[in-house]
Amino acid sequence: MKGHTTVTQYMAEVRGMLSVGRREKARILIEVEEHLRETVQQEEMRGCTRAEAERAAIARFGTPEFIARQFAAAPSRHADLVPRRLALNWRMLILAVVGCLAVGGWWAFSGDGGIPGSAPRGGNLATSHVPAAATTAVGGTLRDAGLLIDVGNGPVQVSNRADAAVVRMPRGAVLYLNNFGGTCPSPCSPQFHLARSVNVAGHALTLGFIADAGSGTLFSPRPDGSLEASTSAQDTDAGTLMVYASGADGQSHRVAVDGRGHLLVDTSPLPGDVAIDMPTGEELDLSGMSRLGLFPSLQRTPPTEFLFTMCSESPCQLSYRVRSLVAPFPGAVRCLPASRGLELDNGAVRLQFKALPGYGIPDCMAQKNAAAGSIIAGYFVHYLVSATSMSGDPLSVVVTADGTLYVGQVATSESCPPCRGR
Amino acid sequence: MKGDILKGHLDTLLLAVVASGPLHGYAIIAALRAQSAGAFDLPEGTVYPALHRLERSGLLASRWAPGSGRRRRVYELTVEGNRALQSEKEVWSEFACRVSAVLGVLP
Repeated sequence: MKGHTTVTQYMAEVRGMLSVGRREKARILIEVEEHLRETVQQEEMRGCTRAEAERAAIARFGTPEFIARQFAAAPSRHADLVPRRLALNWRMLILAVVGCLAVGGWWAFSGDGGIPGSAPRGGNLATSHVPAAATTAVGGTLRDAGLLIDVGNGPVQVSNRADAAVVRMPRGAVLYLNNFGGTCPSPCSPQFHLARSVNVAGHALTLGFIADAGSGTLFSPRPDGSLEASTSAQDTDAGTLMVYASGADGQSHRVAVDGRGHLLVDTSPLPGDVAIDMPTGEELDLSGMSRLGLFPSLQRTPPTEFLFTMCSESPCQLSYRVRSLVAPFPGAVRCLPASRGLELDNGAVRLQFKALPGYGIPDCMAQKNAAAGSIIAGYFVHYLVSATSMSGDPLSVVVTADGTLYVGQVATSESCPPCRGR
Repeated sequence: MKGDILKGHLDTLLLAVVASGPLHGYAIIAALRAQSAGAFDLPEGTVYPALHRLERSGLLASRWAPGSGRRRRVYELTVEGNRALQSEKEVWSEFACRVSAVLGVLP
């Protein structure tokens, strides 16, 4: 192997050696690079320098020649052999990891609030009002942050949630992410996550954009600096864009997309006591729950850490990705077998932090009396957090926008399972 | 463990790992290593072509999943993949039993 000292150099060589179709090549390059970056991150967590970590990641992956040979032996993917997955399964997306962000929780792709009209730049989008769905869901002090999306040949569907806006884009949709400082290298990846610091009406905020474009969709720069979502002939939709906002202190801010395709941002933060079920976007009724503790604020820029509630399965659990795990309440720490995580209990409630596949706590340190706010695991880990009583009865665990931890029973409703807004 | 020994079984092992739920490539490799107590420590670059091959064969499906800034391709078992995995398990059990009998060791 040549002396590849950096992942960037290595990827350049792999790119030059792969002899597969354009779309297949784009996908392979993304998968390989993301794998290497993840390995580098893990190696750095173990104490390696960046240079050592990159060398280790490359050595473990194999030479570019080897990789190119392997993929050449695995013919290109044929779309007709694989079920199309144009309808996103949000629960899978969330559990798959890593979920996304979390600014307090989010998303249901309800598809309500379809925006008819014509585009302001020659397309067919252009109602000047804010749709009822937006005003109802958002409220507060909305400010126009600028044009987000334009369409050329079809309606845009928007779901404005309490914590985020979800936009389903038709083929040919054009995104104006560059209005918000976002850039996309050429060729753009089929899926990307941007987080940018912006100033909205004098308020310093972070806007986050996640595009899950579905299989095979590419986002390409246009001469005016915008991005065009292009799809294959088989695709009916270009994909879905999710937008969220948070303040300098990490608090969530509500956002919405109006009938002109403009992004609206609430300059006031979401109330700290609001808890949202991420898969559905519903606000949770905490009346049957007890306050147990407090998680510290998260590092969200660049988007690295998140914490949100998931009530898709009863009882509710938390998805928590964090660099250093801090005890949200005082208690005893016990280690789970095989470095799979740890438990914290205060004699009444047991909280289990279970590491997701690919993560672990190599040298978990059991403690009898961990203080609230003390670090109980110093590794970058994505946890699934669940709670039980000391007798083993499952409890729901929920976190609010300000990081307050609640346990107990979440009120449910058959008409809007599993959680009901208050 | 030698990679050659694994060569004919990699596809089945990958199906078995993915059977636990949707996973991206890095997590699949980590799970394979963890579940074999470190014995199956393959060159990581061999796994992705195998995943692509299994998807092409209709045994796995995949999609992009947003994930904290990473662009991850998540793989999951299809109905056909689950059927193939169950079949492979039966074949392996029978094979392991017969080989053990010949070698005079416990399966």
